[in-house]
Amino acid sequence: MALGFLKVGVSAFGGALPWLRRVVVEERQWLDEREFTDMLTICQAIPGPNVVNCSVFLGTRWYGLSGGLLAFMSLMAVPLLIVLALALIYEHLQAHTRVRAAVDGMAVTAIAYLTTMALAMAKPFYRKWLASLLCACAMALSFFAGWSMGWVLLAGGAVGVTAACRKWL
Amino acid sequence: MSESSPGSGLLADMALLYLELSFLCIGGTIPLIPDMHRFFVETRGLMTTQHFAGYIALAQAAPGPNILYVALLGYHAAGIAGAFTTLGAISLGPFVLVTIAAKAFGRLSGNPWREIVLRGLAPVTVGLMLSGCALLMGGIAEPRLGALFAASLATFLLFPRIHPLLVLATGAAVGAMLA
Repeated sequence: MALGFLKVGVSAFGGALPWLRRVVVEERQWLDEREFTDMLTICQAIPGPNVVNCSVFLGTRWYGLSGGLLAFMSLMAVPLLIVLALALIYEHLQAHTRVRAAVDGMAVTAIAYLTTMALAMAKPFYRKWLASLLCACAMALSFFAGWSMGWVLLAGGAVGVTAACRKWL
Repeated sequence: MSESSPGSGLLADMALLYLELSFLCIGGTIPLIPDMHRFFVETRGLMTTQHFAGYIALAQAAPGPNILYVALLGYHAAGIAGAFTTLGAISLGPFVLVTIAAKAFGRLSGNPWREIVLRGLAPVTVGLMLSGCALLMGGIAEPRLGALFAASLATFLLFPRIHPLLVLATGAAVGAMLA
């Protein structure tokens, strides 16, 4: 199991979910398609990154708490080392304007990627005026008014869930 | 902060911040960016927005879950101990909830409330994500990088099949040429 999650962690470039499916369903056949989807549905409802949640979920189901911990570690350890090494190199090369500029360029592209993800998540609701308004309000409260996330989620979530209950969203 | 204990207060503050956020990260950690940015850049002045965004990019360019930029923020602020503190704290909430869910498998699926809550929260989450992106771009305030942002955004939207890594690499190359 640890080796499986190790593989997911190391090979997962830009979105680990397809890799998780490949290893868990196709290569090791730990779960079938349906079980995988069921698990994903549960893990998506829980805070945290889906891939990490799914790994911990499987580890816990098979081997209890220590299995969950082991799954977490094997997923994270190697990528963490790689990322820390990259950061170390980046910090050492800080003096070079060109390296800084390259990372700045990459950062801007990464922000564009995050924006794309946000827009993709808005697809199911952007035609509904109430949902779009709620989205704009949440953004304004966070960006202009500087509300912290907890308050935005609480206020926005109250409105959103009430509206979803009445089928307005 | 005192010189003799570099960062034990900071470590505790980071742990608290991320423990709190760890229960809120519905839909990944991107909606948390405004709060993290406020802590590391605006309130504490531990790094610039460029650094902050650079770490997000590094984590995206490297293999593994993208959440690892959280460890890099901690690393920048307080070294290895910082990295373990932030990554550990942000993972604790989900970890506890997932282990509970794993024991109660089956009871959660098919719950109509789940659908309603997710549908109600989605616009709020997206709003927070957009706020984070705007904060980061605002901190980088450089017109030529703004143009690069627009170009990469258009690329992602118009050609969703292009691998993100390719666009990231192009962004790095363009950035280096702008220097």
